[in-house]
Amino acid sequence: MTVLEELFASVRRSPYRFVFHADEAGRGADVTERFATHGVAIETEELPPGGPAPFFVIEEDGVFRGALGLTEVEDILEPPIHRVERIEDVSTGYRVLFDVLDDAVFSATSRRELLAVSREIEERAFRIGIGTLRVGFQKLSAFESQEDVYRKLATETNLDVHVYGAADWTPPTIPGVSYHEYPELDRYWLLAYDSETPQAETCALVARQTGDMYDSFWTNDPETTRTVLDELEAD
Amino acid sequence: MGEKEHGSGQSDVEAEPPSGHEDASGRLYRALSAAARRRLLWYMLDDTEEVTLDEAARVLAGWEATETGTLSTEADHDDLLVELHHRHLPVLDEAGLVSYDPNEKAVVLESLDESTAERLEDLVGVNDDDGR
Repeated sequence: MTVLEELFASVRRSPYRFVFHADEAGRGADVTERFATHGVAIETEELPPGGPAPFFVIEEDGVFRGALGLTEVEDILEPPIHRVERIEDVSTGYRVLFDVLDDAVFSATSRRELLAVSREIEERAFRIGIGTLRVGFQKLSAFESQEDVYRKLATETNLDVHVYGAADWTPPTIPGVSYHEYPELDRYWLLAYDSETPQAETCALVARQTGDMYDSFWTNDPETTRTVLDELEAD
Repeated sequence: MGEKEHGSGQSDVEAEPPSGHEDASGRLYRALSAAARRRLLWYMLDDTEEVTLDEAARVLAGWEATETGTLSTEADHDDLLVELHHRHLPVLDEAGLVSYDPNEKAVVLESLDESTAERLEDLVGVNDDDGR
């Protein structure tokens, strides 16, 4: 899975960098870790003692976008996040931080969220109706609950559908769907679609399980999508 | 933040008094009379003996954010860049506390004598609003 690992590493390089300024390294560790899971580069700048309270400087491609105290950042991240209300009430400046959080597509993603993104990709492939869809199910048994969806995808379109996963279950024969055993995929939830048309409609979801949650990204970028497709096809 | 700056920072918006006839002590006093200048010196005193203009503005923007409890915006940062470049850094340079190269936008801390350093450390902790 080195290609996928590399892809993760490259996509993780988000344009955002948060520089944490504090006179005590230990403070703010929770928050910096949380940002790190959003794919944001975190740096720590140690301040001399006796100065300001800890704060973050938010950069995008090296350009200053905002600075905010640790306490205020902690408040924002504290669930529930009342984004809209807060933005309206407090300051337009917070928009910058929320943009940062929203644009950083990496997160501790739940299965439910991944399902929603997967559905989006599947529906897009269905609407376009041609091209190749490759899907990694971690274990083939996970395909069982998706059988109807994929039967429809394969039979009502001209899509070429390939399903990958560790062979812990014998899937039903569906015309247009081919199965590939891929035990190395057991940590990865993958979907990649390429319309293979001149307009190059592409999209991919790559999620890596960490405990109960997943680190993930999704993209419409043709190059990234094709890297995922190629990696699956190579098997 | 805008409100606060227009209020408490008013004295800072005015032109610096003419410095032609000041002695060294007068220049030092004036240099340390604005919070932004003290803060920058405090930041550089530790072990950051050279900063860029942009870096200086970032630290000051962050410091302000911790006081106001709101986000310092790009506009705040831009204001700080202008203030530092046109006012604070020339004053610090003239007092012999830093050397500022306006073309390179680079600030280098001059070696401070002990009493100046101590005076600065005493002053910098004071979160007054006398000259933001």
